[in-house]
Amino acid sequence: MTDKSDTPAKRSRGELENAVMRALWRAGAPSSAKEVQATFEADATPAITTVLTILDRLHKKGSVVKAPAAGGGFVFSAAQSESESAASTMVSALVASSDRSAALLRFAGQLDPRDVEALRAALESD
Amino acid sequence: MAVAVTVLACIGASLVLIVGAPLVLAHGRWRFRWPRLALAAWYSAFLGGIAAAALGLVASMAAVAFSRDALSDPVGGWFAPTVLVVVGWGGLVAVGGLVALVTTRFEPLAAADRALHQQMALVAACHPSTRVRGVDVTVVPFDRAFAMSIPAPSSRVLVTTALERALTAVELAAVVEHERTHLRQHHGVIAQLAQLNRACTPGLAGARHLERTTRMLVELIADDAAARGLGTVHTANALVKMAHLAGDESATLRARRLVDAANRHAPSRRRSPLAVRVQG
Repeated sequence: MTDKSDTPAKRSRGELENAVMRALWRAGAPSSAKEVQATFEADATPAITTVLTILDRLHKKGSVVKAPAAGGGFVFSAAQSESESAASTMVSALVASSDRSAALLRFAGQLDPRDVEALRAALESD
Repeated sequence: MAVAVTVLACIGASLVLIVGAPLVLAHGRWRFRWPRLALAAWYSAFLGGIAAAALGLVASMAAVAFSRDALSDPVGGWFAPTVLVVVGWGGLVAVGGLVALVTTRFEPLAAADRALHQQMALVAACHPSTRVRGVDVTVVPFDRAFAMSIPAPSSRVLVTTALERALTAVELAAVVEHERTHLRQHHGVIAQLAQLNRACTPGLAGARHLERTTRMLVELIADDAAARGLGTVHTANALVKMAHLAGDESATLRARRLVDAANRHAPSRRRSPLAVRVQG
């Protein structure tokens, strides 16, 4: 049986995670899974189990902090502010660029394995 | 005849330098002891090869264009004129093709660099920077230990808070000095030149070798500069800690290389295994 709350468009996991993070940032205070679910538009509301799965995934990634709620259950809040998260995303993009751009020289991690072996052999023969 | 022989000699020299030099320069322990010499040798061969080819082409074209004697050489017969005309016209076609190839390969690399500098400008605008010996150092909150240099126009060193926490102040200064050396000596430009060369000649083993050797040699050169400025022990310790944090074994080997070099230059009575301990 199809879950009507996820129709008509099936969103990607990344889009749902971003939507959940935006809901937490807008809330400004720890929110339950139901409160997060309520922030979605009526025709695009994910199932509560989906919201819980996403919150759990984000918690494991370190993006969300989980705390016991006063009346039982859990409440969730963003581990970083939206601006800190944006900055972290920019740095991640820069770090990823360093793998592709010859102009970016990193302190470690860019030597070819063949050169590493040649260096090892040279040191061992000295 | 003399011009034709000169042209052939230039082309021969070019081939020897571009194709043959990697066979010699890619081996031997000397590269690791004297990385600056090795880098100079590589790029002398590379640029010398290009210069020799260019000289041969110009000489051939000049002979065809300006000297009737070169084309009607009674001593050379058909040989000299054939060489000059083939090299001249063939060289023109080759240069035209090369210009088109370089332009095509260069544009995506240049676009990636423009995007990179835009990203860096955003990062720098959001995070504090300090000026260290003429270079801007930006510390960014990030959970991976990381340091890198970004060349002009951004021209700065990026360090993450994870790395800042993991190193002592003097070890971090050694890392900054390492990255500062990359900027001062324009290692980013040299690495980009090697990258462009490989992009234009992907089938040439020498081009691939030049690119990866460049990456290795500039790191060893920067390690040496940091060791001279901040001391071998602190630089080696920074490398060992980085090896542990980043899971990069090559950093440990680079530390060992610095220590071995320091022991070689120390008076015999002071030589001892330098204990490089990872703290924490």
